[in-house]
This record gives sequence, C-alpha cells and structure tokens, in this order.
Amino acid sequence: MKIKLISGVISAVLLSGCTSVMQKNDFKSFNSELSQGNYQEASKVALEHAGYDPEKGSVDDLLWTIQAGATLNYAGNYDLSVKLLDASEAMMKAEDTENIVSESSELIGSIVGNDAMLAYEQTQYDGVMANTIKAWSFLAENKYQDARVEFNRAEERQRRAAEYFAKQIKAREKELKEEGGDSSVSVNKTIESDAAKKVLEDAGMTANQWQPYDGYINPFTTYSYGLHLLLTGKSKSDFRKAADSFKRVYALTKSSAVNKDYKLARKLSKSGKKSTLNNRVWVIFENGLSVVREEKRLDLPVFILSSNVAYTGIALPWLKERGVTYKDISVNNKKTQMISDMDKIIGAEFDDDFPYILAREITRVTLKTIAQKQLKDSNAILGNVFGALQAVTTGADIRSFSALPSQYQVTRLYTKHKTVEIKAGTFTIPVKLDTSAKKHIIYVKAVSPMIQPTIRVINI
Amino acid sequence: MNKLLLASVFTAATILSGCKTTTSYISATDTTQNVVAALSYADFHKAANEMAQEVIASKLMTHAKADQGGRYIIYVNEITNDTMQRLDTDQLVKSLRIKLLQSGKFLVTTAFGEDDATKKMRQLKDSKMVKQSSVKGNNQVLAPDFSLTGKILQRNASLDNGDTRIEYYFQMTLTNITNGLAYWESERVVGKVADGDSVTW
Repeated sequence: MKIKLISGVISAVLLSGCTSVMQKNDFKSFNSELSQGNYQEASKVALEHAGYDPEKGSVDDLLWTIQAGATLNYAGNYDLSVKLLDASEAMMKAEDTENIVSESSELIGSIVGNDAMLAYEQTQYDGVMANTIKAWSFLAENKYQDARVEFNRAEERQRRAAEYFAKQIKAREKELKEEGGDSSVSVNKTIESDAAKKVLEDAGMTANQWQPYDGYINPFTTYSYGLHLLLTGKSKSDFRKAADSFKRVYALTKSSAVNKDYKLARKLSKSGKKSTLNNRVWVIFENGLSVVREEKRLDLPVFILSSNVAYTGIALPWLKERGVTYKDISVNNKKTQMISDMDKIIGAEFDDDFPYILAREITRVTLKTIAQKQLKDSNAILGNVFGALQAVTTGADIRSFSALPSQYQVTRLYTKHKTVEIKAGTFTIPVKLDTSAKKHIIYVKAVSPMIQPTIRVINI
Repeated sequence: MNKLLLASVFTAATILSGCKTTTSYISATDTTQNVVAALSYADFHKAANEMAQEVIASKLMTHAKADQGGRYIIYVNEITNDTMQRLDTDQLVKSLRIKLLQSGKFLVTTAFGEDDATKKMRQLKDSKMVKQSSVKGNNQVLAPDFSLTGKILQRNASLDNGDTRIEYYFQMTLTNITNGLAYWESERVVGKVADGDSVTW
C-alpha cells in the first residue's frame, strides 16, 4: 500500500517536473518568433500547442488558442483569428462555470506537483483582449456590425472585471486568514515570518508594484470602442457613447489626442454631421512586447511542525519586462501618445494574484518537506529519493498571454493628401490611403527596432 | 444474488438514461420553457407580433384612401444590432414585415437595395431572347412612403446574489418620408436573469 502511494506520488512528481520544463520551451520558441516579427511562424507554434485540428477546426488548449488568435490577427489572417478567439471564448466560459469538484481535484493534484499542472485559467485581461482583438479583425475587414458586437462584449467583460476584483479582494483576504488543514499553522507562520519576508524583499518580490487603472479598465479597449462608434456610428446616441468613452480614457491618461477626440465626438453628438469626420486619420501604435512571467527560484525558510525551520527551494513566477520598441513614432510629424500601459494592466492583476500563488507554493513545500522528513525517519534511502524528486518538481507557472504589446499609443491628424509619412526609429515609411475613402485608421505594430514595423490601413 | 445484481444494474441504467436529453420538438414561440440567456426566436416573435399589432391599429398609419385600396409602402432601412450577440436583424424584422403585409394595410418595397431583380430585369429590354412586351417598363416602380429603422440594445447588470440581469430593448421607428416625421415608435423590453459565473453569450 505504502509503495503504491509512493509510486503515485513519484509519477505525479515526475509529470509536474516535465510539465514545467516543457512549458518553458513552448514559450521560448513562441516568444522568439514573436520578438522577430515573424507573426505567421509564431502563430504556427501557437496553433501546434493549441492542439489545432484544421479538419475538425477544434482546439484543446485555452491559452495557446488565444495566443494563436492574437498572432494570426497580427499576420493579417483575420478569419482564422476570429474562429480561434471564438473557440477561446467557449473555453473561457467552460472554465468560468467549471464545477467545484473538478476544480478542487485539480488543486489537490497541483499541491503534489506544481501550479503549472493546473488547467490554465484565463485572466480578466485575456478575455477583454480576446474580444478587442476580434473587434479589430472585423474592423479591418470593414464588418462594422460584427465589430460592434465584439466591442460590446469587451466592455461587458470590463464591467464584470471591475466587479470581480472588488469581490476578489474581499474574498481572498478572508480565505488567506482562514485557510484550513494541519499545515496551515506552519504555512501562516512562514508567510508572516520576517525571515521569509526578507528573502522575498531581497529578491525584489514585493507586493503592490503595479497599480491598476481606475475601475480596472483597459483604456485601449474603451478608446477602440469609442473610435469605432465615432467612425461608424449612425445616430447622435452613438456619438454620445463615443464621447463618453473618450472622456473616460482622457480622465485616465490625460492624452491631448484623446481630448480632441472627445471634443469631436461631442460636436457630432449635437450636430450629427458626419462630414466633420472627413479627411481625418487616426493612428494606433502597438509598441513593444508585454511583461511575461519568468521563474524565480529562492531558498525560503519554511516552518515545519511549528518550530523547526528548514531552508527549502521554492519556485515562483515573477514578471519580466520586455519593454517598448520606441518611445513614440510620428505620423506627418505628429507624435503618438501612450493611452494604455498593458504592462501595468498585467502587473496589477498579477499583483492581485501573487499572495495566493505564494501561499500555495509554501503550502506545497511545507507538505512535501514534512513528508520527506517522515519518510526519512522510517527509511533513509526513500527519504533522500523523495528529497531529490522534490527538487525536480519545483517549478513555477509561467504561462501568460505573451503575444500582447507593452503599450498602446495613438495620435490623430487632418490631411487632404492621401499619402502620409510614418517615422519609427530609423525607418521612414510612406503610407498610401485609399482615395475613395474619407476616414482612415493606420494600425502600426513594432516589436523590435531592428525590424520595419508592420502597417495596415483601415479605410472607412 | 444474480437477481439483485440485475435489478441494481437496471436501476443504474434507468437513472443514467434519465440524465441523457433525448432530442425532441419544442414550440419555438414558447417564452416560458427552454429559456436561454441569449435572444431566441420566441423573443423576436413576441416583440414583432406586438409591434405589428400597434402599427396596424395606429390611426396615423392608416392610408387616407384605405377604403379604395390605398396602402402605404414601407422601406426597411437599417436595424442596428447593439447587443453582445452576433445576430441577423432580419430575425426581428422579418416577422414584423410578414404581419404588416398580411394585414393588407401595407406593402413593403424591396426594389431599393434588397432585391436587385427589379432593376436587373429591366435590362432585358435589349435581349433578343425575351418577348419585349413582357419586359417591365420605366416609370412604374413606386417610391416608399415610410422608412422603418430600429435598434436592438442589450444592457447587463449584476444582482446582489451574483446573477446577471439582462435587458434587451427592441426599438423601432416608422418615419414618414414626405415630411420626415416619426409617425410610429415603439419599444419592447425583454428581461432575463442568468447565472453570473460567466458571460451571457
């Protein structure tokens, strides 16, 4: 019986060790293609990990499906991008409504192994961005009705996110205090000990490094919603909604470009004269690559059986910046302004999650250390084997939506010439606008100063 | 022993089969059963029916020469989908059009953008194959009297118990093209409550 149990533990342990290493490799190859601007190649990597079956059109991994959806949008393959992001929404819904039994059995498994074994649970910004990207895909194909539905969904997800965070903060404070089980005394002792705090501080892992935008909103999503209504709106009420969105974004960013958009939308909400929009160009700039999770390994003083302390290796995820590509770019000498710091949005949500991740890792390591000690007392060899395995299984969950940019910037201009000039670092790129269209959005994406930015024009 | 086993297997099978939904017909217009958070035919059907009754009963929407067979011609303009669902706005408009046509008080024009045959078939006047006297001539297509526009809106809000309250607004307007005045407007609101654990689409 004992042997069965041990072998069970050992196989879980080996599996979790593998999972964590494999995940790191997956992200390495994906992020490397992405950082070279090879969006098509990056999407292939993502599709493979998503378990994409082109014949059935099925996928089985949520995170990689979102990653594939995003990179396919960057590569201009809008149809497939939308299909995959639709599938990702269905998976997110399944994850949201997953019953407690399967959730807790997953959690028990992860206590033996590590967090990387758990099914990926989407962050709030994953969902918001999935709908935002879909909306932009529809806009690029001039499918305005479909874009509107996606923007409505994105805004609804933002509304839900604000409520989620308000509830979450209350619930987690309570939960961390009340966490049951025999080891909870030791776990709490470790978390609250000065020694442990110092180790974390020395590693630069202190809480609350990122502040969310007010109301946990992503100003880029709200801005996009407003811009879409401004450019494709039909009634004064549409323009009023656009003005409200720009007003919110201006309050958060103080961007003068957004302020001008707000004033323009207000004007239209009174006059309803759409010709006011003629000969105007908006520029959206996706700058750099977002923060990603990396693994940090630390030796933490862990309390076992209340008084004994053992320094034990733990692994935690922490955010690594990949940074912006340019401070800004200019279009006909007009500089872009930052309206959304994606790093800040990701960071704030991570900050919120971190105490939880830490508590889980310490619970795990405490349980394992206690088990190892008990095993060693009865059988020294087995104890050592278990100890070695413990080291192997230690691994952080580094999965995140890494296809996102670091920042979103915008600018706007009025021009009667149908060619504009974009300057990005050492690149000067002339961009032709459709002469038959009256309004235009230029969408620029730059991931590295070594590679010419990708540019697409939406003529409305 | 065997009997007992058989009985328990049978019971288990019965319970299991009870869990499985067998495919069956439902009434698509029933708003009390098989309710979903999204908009369904039952919602469109109900709203369209009620609105059609209003239009038909409206005095303003009665043709001055109704007794001599005078009927207003309606042009269906754009209906905006401002919900979180990808839907075809015809799901609402079609039911309404059918009711209006069936009432005998209205005609709907499809000549402008909807059915290009009205225009295309006139090009047959140069065709050697077609009997020219049967080709429809110019100066015969009638311009519309009224334009139908509308919007389907969705608003979601969370209740204290965590559920989501969903409101769908069907808003429609008939504008008299002669003077630009709205002769009929109506709104129907469909309210639903759904589980708040996830999104409603």
